[in-house]
Amino acid sequence: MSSESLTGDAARRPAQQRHSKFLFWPSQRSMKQQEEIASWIFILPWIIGFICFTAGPMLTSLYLSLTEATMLEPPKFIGLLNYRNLFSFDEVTSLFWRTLYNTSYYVFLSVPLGLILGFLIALLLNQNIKFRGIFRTIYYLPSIIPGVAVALLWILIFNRQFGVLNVILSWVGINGPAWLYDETWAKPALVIMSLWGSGGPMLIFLAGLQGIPTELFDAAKVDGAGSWQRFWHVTIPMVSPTIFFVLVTGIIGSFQVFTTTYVMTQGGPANSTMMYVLYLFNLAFQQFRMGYASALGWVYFVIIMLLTMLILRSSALWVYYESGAMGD
Amino acid sequence: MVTRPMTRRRFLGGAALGAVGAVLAACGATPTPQVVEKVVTSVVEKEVTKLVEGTPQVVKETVVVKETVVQEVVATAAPTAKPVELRFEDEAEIGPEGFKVFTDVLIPKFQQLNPGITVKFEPATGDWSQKITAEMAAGDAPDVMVAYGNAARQWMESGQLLPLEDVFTKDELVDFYDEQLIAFNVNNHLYEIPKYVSTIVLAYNKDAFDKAGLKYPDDSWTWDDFLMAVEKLTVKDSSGKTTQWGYRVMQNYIAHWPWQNGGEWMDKEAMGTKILIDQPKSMEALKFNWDIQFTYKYSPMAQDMEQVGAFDTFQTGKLGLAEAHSWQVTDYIARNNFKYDYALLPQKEKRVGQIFADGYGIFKGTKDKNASIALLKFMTGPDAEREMCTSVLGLQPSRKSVASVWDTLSQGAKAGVNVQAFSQMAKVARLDPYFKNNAKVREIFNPIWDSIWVTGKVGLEEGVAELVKKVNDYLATVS
Repeated sequence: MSSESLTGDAARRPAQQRHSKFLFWPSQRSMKQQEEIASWIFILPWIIGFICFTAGPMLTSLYLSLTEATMLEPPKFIGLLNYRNLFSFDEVTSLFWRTLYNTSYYVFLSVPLGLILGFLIALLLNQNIKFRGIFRTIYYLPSIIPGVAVALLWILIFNRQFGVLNVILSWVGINGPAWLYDETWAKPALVIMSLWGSGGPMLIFLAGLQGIPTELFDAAKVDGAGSWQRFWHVTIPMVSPTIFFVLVTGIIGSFQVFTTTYVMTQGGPANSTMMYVLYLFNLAFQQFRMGYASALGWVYFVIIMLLTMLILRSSALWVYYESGAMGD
Repeated sequence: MVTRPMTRRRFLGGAALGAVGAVLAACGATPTPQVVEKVVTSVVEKEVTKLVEGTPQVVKETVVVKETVVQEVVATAAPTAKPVELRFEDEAEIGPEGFKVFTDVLIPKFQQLNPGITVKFEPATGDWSQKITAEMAAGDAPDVMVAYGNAARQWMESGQLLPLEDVFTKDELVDFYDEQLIAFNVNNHLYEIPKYVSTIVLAYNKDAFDKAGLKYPDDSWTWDDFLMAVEKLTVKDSSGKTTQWGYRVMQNYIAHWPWQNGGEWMDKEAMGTKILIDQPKSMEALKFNWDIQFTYKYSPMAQDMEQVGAFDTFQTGKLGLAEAHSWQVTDYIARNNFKYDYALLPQKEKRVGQIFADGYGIFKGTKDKNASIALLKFMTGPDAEREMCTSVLGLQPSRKSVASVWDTLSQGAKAGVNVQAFSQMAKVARLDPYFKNNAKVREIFNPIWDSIWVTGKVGLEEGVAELVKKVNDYLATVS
């Protein structure tokens, strides 16, 4: 066998075979390794950041949740005592159930209402109306105003004597309550305030609505579908992935409500707006009970994770993907 | 001119000479006494001849004497071979302009007296105490800092502050109010030195008093006199809407009322282990205030004036009487566009006020203990207290020896208001009550207290009974 025949033989191999051999050439393998190393170097800053600022603190807090830790003294291992105390129904021991109720009340009212309002505004602004761009900007603007500024603004709106809300209510003969100073009305006030940020979901819904092919509406029209049927059988299924996204991110975000209550009510009056994260913050940074606060944080993580999983599972029943990816 | 080349030997010789010079210079860094001119103010009583009803008579009167003297001031810190930079964190109750007193006056003065020590000022704003706690955990807190409240207690209890009992002699501490020193004493260690004293007096709106035809409050005022005035100072318009309230109940600073009535707030002077506000004398005092708010409606509810905070209500001119804290004096001068003055708190069985403890502490991990002690001694010394008192900060001195400066030279005194009332109340004041594990006690206490005083959803007797049971049950588990 001559070397010439070998060369000629190799040259006659199909392209795919040549390619596979290409990968195993020693010089090319080292290039692949180099590329692999380069990729690791590129993602290393993120990995280091994740380990140092996310995974590391998470594991530390998991350990702290099993200790009595004050931040300034060495933690003492106490096993599951923090978790046992946490679930106590006695409010002197723990405000877990009260804060979970307050937060759930807020989440399960503010998220659906915000979602519906955002969707309705998006539907309106998806129409061919004059100054559409200006309206879109106006509706979106409130959602980018910093939380503290919004909170201060709404303190004025909820003012019992001079607040805009009570002035409007007085026009229809209603004597408005002392919103933030009333145990009954303080939580609904926070829900009302949360609707201020509906511009965020609106923008996402608008993008979703604009992604629906017009042929679908045309075909439905040809088949004799009315506007309600087109909305119900075309629009809703086509934007259901968007609804799903807004719902999941909205729920996770609302469970973390903190700024508004911290600025507006400090959890009062009489703990009626004491939200879970504010309670956790108070335990950690006012009472310096870091161990207990860590346990509270981990339980919350599990609750939010389970809820998110539930929504993810349920999405197979109500979210429509054109590609059918979720159904596969 | 002949230029001689630099040889190796010549270079080394020169370097050695330079090094010896530098060492000698460093050794000579001991602060030399500086001669400075200083204005010393003293309050003296002297006899002067005055015309009394047209007749010259010799009368005694108190006058403020200012004299400029030449004094030697010696740096207080032990000499340090190498320069040190200290971090100093403090707050200004009146707002950002107050920080200039530290950055433009006090710190430059300290640095002048202590060559080799540079002080970097860190303004304490927002959640500053949480920031310091985190810095302590990381071992990198300011060297000297203001400290009070729950955070300060945590720092003291966990030994984050340097014990100071060996730094200050008993003779030096005599100048401070005992109540403040009690607050800074934890586990038999003194962890802080008072920065200023905050006391409570009665502020009254002279215009409102004149309009109501009432005599101004004086030292003889009792609770009955007070209640009568509060009633007459409450004004309603034709529609029945209150346009001026007689008084604003300050339910979060109310402990002196039970004390005045011979009652108690808790079982100890500090670090209480049992709450006693359900005792008859204490309840009677609380009921007196509760009636003013709920029965007679002479006091606004929080939601009646929610656009202004509790400490800003009097400045609106819509109150006849209010309890004023000494740190508010400069704010009153700036904002009150009506005539007002201060008087002693009304009394029942006895006259008792309330005193609050704000102090300075040194972080145990300070980079230079001697320099930090020098800074702390300077900031709590008579000169700094005088500056904090007379400047825009307007802080009532915690040193009794400087009290006369507050009475005569502070901005309040210059504005012609009776700031001496604060000094008088400080002498009969008791420490703002705090319990063992105070932060947790507040978590139990505050919501029920809100239901009684803010929302009014729970009656006084019912609320106090619930509160006392829950707080005492908790305290029993930790005592």
